[in-house]
Amino acid sequence: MKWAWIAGVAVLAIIPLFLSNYGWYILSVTMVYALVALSLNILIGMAGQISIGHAGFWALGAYASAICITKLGVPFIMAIFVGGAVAGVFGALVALPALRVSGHYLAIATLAFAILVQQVLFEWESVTGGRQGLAVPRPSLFGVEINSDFGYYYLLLALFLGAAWLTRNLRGSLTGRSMMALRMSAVAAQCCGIARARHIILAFALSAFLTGLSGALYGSLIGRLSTETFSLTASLSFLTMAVIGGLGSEVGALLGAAFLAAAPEVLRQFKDAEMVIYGAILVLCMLFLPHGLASLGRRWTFSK
Amino acid sequence: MDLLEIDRLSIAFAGLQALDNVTFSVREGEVLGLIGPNGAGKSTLLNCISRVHTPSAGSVRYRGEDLLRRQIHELPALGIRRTFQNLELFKDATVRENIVLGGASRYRASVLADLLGVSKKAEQQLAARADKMLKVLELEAHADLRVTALPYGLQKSVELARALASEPKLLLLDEPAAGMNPEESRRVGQNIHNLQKLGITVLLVEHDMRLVMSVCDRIVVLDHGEKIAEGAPAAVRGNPAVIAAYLGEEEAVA
Repeated sequence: MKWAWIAGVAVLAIIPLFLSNYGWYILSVTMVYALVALSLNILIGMAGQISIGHAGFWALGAYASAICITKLGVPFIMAIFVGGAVAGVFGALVALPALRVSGHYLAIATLAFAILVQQVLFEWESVTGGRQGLAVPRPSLFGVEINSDFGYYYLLLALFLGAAWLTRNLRGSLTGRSMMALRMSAVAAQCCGIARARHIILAFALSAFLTGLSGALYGSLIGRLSTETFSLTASLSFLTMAVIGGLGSEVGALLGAAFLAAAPEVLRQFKDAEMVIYGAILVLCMLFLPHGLASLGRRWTFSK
Repeated sequence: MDLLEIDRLSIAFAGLQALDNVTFSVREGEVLGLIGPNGAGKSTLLNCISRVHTPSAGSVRYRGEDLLRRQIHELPALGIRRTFQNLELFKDATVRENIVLGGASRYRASVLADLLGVSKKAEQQLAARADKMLKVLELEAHADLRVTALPYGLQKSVELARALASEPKLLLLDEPAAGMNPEESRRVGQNIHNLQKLGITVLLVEHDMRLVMSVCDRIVVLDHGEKIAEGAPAAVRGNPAVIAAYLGEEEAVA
């Protein structure tokens, strides 16, 4: 198991050497998405809560970080964590309705939150640039600008591995297992002494933090923020990614992210049929891989 | 000494008076049976004590403390645990994991330590506690099976082990022998005896009269949300109001 991890990290570290600009960009996008997939692993996979508003946290992280860099002169590496923290605080706030409602109602509440965020960012022109958008400078570390996506990819990879490690620890810890207990039976978990409010708020806050961090990193990768990016479509793509990859593992998060990043690029050549093929892949995955791409490996091992 | 005092407790659901002015006490160290026909309000009463429901009037005191001011998840730390009539297990988890989580109230989790993966020592204590419970309830052979793979009777044992994992002082059992054959039912009775020997006070809701009569020190009888009798098993068994309630012949007695 340990060797599988080392091998996996080695592969991720070597891949860029065989690619060029375009490939580095896709890899970087994959890492950005993978952070969101990890965040949904915590929220949906562990705590059993639903959100179709993660584009809202993504936007908050992206704008908070970009504003810190451009208007307040905060160094990039600090700004991205400010972006995560801002999203995390809003995550804790969004958790409050989740304590009262669940299922469809929670989904609607998170959707409303994301729409609200998008509208405020659009209207608040003096700070966010509104319809003009907001230019974000290239990422820099200790005053040195990271000019190429090749270098940026390694920073993103390091952040993803760190986040994956934390998520994995959480999953095995009593806090993570308490979240899962609440998902399986809220009343029994509470009768075991597990505080529901505390764990749901924590799950939302941690999840929003990672998604906010991802948004901040995304802004610096793309170089320009526009509120259109942070739509319902983005939220739904995130959910799709999480389901396709599988909600129970870090590898699944990475595979789902790779799918979300690469599928549009690969399918582009099919022109008008693009969305049809994309949809067909989704349906096939749901039918034959209910536990996501991450379960493929397990299947092969068992069938041998 | 009274461990639990229930005073003039009432609750209504959609106009139905599920509990009406119910008053009784549970003494420290005793096994108190709570019986009554279907719909008498037994489970509702258990739900009020365990804070699943909030009664509309009356009070529940535990060691003199007002339990209604407490939230449901705070009860285990006070020493109160319960089981459920219809099993409420963590279905995707193993037998051991169910029991480990049962000890959650004994463990103050630090989120930071959990994220960094450095809470191993506290984890080991929880695991040791679970191992002890697995042994006591003879579940060791099934420890690593998914809990839903076990037969119903053993699942009930897992639920009991989970409740015992935090070493409670007061245990609320909601029909522990429901759906069990006579042999299994006898074992439940034996378990309750053992709990009492360990100094655990038990409030037992049960339909199996043989079990109730054999393990309980005292019995409280509910009917239509009201207490109709209270006393030693022999006295309760001969009480005309109780016999009438069970036969559905209140009019004849009145």
